Amino acid sequence: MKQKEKEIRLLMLGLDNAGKTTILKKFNGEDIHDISPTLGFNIQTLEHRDYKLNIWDVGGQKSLRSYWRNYFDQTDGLIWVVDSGDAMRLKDCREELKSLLLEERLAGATLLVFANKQDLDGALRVEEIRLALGLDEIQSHHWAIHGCSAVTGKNLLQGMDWMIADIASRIFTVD
Amino acid sequence: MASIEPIALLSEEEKIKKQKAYEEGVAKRYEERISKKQQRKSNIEHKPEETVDYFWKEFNSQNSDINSMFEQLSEALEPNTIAKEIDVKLEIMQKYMNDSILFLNPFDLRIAQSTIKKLQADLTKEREKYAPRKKFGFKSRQKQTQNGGQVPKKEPSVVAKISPAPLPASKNSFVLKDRKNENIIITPEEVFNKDLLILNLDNCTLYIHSIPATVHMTNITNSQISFGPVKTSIMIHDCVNTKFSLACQQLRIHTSVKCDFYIHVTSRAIIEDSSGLRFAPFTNTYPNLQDDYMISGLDEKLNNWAIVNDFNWLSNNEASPNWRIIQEDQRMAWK
Repeated sequence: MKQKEKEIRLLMLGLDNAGKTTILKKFNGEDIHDISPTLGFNIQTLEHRDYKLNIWDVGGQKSLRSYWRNYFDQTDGLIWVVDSGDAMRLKDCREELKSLLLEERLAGATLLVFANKQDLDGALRVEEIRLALGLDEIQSHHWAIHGCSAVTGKNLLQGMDWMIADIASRIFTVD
Repeated sequence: MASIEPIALLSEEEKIKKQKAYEEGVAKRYEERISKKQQRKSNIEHKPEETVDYFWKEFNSQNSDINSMFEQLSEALEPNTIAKEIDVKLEIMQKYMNDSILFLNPFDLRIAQSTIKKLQADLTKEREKYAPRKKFGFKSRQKQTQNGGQVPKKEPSVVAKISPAPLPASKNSFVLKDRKNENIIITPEEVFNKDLLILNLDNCTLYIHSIPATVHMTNITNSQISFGPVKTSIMIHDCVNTKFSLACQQLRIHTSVKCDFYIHVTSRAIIEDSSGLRFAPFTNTYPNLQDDYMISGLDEKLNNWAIVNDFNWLSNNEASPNWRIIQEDQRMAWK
């Protein structure tokens, strides 16, 4: 195949303390020990499997969530990051996700849910999170949930590969 | 519904067809993106500069235009017409900001965003004043935020019906809750490497000389809390009049008031919707503390206790009124 620039724009959201920035840095092979809570956003452009990924990581603090919409345009994939150790806020997490999925500008996006922090002993299992977030009710988007650990890097690649394959098959072949 | 057709199951012919469609798709999308990029580029080239300074000049002039329209509003015969014009201008302003996202730093962006938010809130208020009174309807309950509505709560107009799912409790968590007037000492083995959840304490002292994996604390009042090093983050919600001694990578404090934090933080602490917080360096010590630092992997030498980011206070120049440093002679002795 000809070497073409295949650009994919990914938006990474989730409640605060979910581990969004840690996923981004780990995926990019950077040090994750000095990550501060995100005041604003981070952008990372990286080459992966012949694709150019533009990943937008926007802070998840309550006071930042009303700004998420500024980043919706041209999003090919939404990465929703969940703190699997935070059972208390799963309801918040579910509601924020539901309202995102109603956004018109995200209508075409593939949804990847990362059940992060699976390295914690007390982490909820992927199945439990799938149920708690009501993912099975989603009809409007292609979706998948992957358990992962941003600290160890486990399953990050697997999740991203699923997402890229889904976006590629949807965008580049269906017309 | 999320499955992708496995390539292996397709016939050779279909594979080639698919591959061809794929390549064409790639090429098409590539060209679209390039042309869009060029379009954007040529738009930019016509502008004098794509710089923060230029942005602010333009943004502020739009801002003052709108403000003067607001002034006209009070004397206008047809305020609704002007309100509509303001609405249009605000949209243009929003779009201008969105188009500038790529070269604005987060701080500038947030100032611009909150400026727009404020104007939008003002407009809504004005409109309510002039709008003919509805005969009946539901009162919209809009809570005023403390800082003049800078950060309005997002209320999605349509919330999808969410079927209630039972919230599972984390396994292998250590939960301590609903205690009053107690001195609690937890043995290291009980919480070592566990997710620690502390809920609803009042007038308690709690000592945990061990290394939890991660910590959540909610609704703690009039208490004293002390931990060993936590390699990940500590989350705090709704605490009042409580003293904490904590060592961790990230400290995230929400909706809390009048609390003191004696901390060792290797990245930094953040506060949100909180006030009357005070900070001092971690001074606590216990026999195995050094070992616990080692085992937890938390860097003992790196302490950014005095760097606190307030998500409700974005000014770089002025200090947040919501927190301050505890004077040395006012610090308490932990033991």
